[in-house]
Amino acid sequence: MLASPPRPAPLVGVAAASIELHLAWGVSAHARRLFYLALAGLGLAVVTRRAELVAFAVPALVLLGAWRAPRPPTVRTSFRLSASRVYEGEQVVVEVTVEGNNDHGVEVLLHPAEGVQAVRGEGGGTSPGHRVLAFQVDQWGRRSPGAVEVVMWDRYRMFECHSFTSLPKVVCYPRPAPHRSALALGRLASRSGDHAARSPGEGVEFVGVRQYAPGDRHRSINWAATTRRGRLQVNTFAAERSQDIVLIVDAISDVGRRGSTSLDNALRGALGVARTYLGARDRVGLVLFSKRLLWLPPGMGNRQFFRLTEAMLEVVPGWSSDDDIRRAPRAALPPGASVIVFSPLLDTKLVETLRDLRQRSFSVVVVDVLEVDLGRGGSRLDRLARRIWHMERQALMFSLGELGIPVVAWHGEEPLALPAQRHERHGGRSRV
Amino acid sequence: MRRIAVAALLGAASTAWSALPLTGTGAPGVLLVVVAGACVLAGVVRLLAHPAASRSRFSMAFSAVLGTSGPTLRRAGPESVAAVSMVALEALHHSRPWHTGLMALVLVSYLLAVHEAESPVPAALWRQDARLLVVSVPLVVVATGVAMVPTAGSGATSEWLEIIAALAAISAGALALPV
Repeated sequence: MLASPPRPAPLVGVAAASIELHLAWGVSAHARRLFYLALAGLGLAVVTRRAELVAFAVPALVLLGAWRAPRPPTVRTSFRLSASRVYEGEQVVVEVTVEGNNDHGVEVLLHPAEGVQAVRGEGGGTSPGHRVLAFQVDQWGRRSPGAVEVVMWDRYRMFECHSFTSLPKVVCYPRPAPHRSALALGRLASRSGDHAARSPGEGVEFVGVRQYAPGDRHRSINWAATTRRGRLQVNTFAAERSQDIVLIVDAISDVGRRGSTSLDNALRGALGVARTYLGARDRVGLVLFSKRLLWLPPGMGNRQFFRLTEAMLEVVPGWSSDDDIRRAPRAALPPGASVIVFSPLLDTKLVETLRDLRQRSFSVVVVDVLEVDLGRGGSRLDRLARRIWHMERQALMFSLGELGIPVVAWHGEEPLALPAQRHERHGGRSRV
Repeated sequence: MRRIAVAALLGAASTAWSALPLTGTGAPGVLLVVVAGACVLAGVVRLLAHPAASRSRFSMAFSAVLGTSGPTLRRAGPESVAAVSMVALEALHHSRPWHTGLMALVLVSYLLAVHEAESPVPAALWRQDARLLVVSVPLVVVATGVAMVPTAGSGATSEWLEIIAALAAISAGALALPV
């Protein structure tokens, strides 16, 4: 399946490799066919004693007369990838150079691995041994994008060889989901940031006017209010503070279509939220409930974003009894942090974790990333099972609601800002 | 896909030409069925191997019918079976030498078209293959011409001499040609 998206990856982490390929030359299928034809023509000419049947052997005889050039036993093949670190959906260009082919024909073919698509339109090169290929990585992870097949042949393609070699590994990060709104979800810390706090301060958001006090700056005097009230009045502004956001990704179960499983959606959504809040000078941390409990304490800036993306690549879906996930690590959860949980809500163990978080008075929002279409048909038992499953999920949602935890559904297609904007800060607790 | 269509058309032309004159019974009839079947199978296997067609509904249905025998069939070479059967059919027909000469050219064209169709290189080989075909034409003419020259005597010796003369003429011509 070929795709032609127009977005090439930036030149990040250019990877290059050079290897000596050993060539195993063999008779081509074309030569074999011509040989059989010649043999049949000559044999039947002798058996039937008809000279005109020799005509069938003519092309093979011509080719046999043309076998002259020695075939190289090895060639040097160099690869140069335009990027070794990409986000899902980005293109990588591979330049393949084959040296030492001694005027033999060369073709380079790309055999993409699973989750990788060859991109149509590339393939040209500046010389016969130089090819430019492109592929698009559609699935996050550390993976080899596939293999390159170097096909070589002699002048009339009587002999040919096919050599395969793997391309260097490419690190593909989950594509951050579109998310623009950096709302203050919980209590604001006492660090400066971009969120308007309720306390007065040196921000830009106008709060009101009050009477002038010694020490106030002259530039903050509100002359219109002063004229009306007859006494000096000054403008007051809201302080700007940052918040701590902790993203919890539930990777205990991973269900759904390949490429948009619950874990894929959870990681994309978490990265989208992380990018937005880090852009708003907030601190963002991460807890991954997976085969191994992974967590990163909250941090700020681009470096933290890349630490988060790298940490997400380590996730392995599953659950280990060695880790007690009912209690999230304290070091990963600073007091007053807002917690955004990305989960398919298929495991009740997570409910215990969320209950613990609410008891520790954290503001929690759950994003339900499950997208499973169970259909409508089926036998009576199928319908019954489907109904029970729906009721269990409704019960789970109800218990979360009882804990004061709002749940929003998000399936990875629409921008994440829409459901998240419905939640506003309300006395340290979130509400729908 | 176009190259596969060209190969299929040349295969059909070779089959039709080798079937003439039509007898329909006995060994020629059986060989004709073998030729036609091998040509169709070659086309279908080639079509299934094509990346553009491999995801079509027809391709998937045919792959399900063939199971895992598709690559095995391709390795067995239905084109080779078709080519050898066509030569055998031509030998059974007792045709005139010019008919056999033309048959040889059409058959070689078919095999070259198959070679083009299976090649991953887009239309890079055709120039060399066409050159080979052009070079083969005078040699085929020599072979058929030798067969059409009336022999001095009759019997096995003169027929053997005719074959040897044809081979010698072709070998001399092949060595003299600048390929």
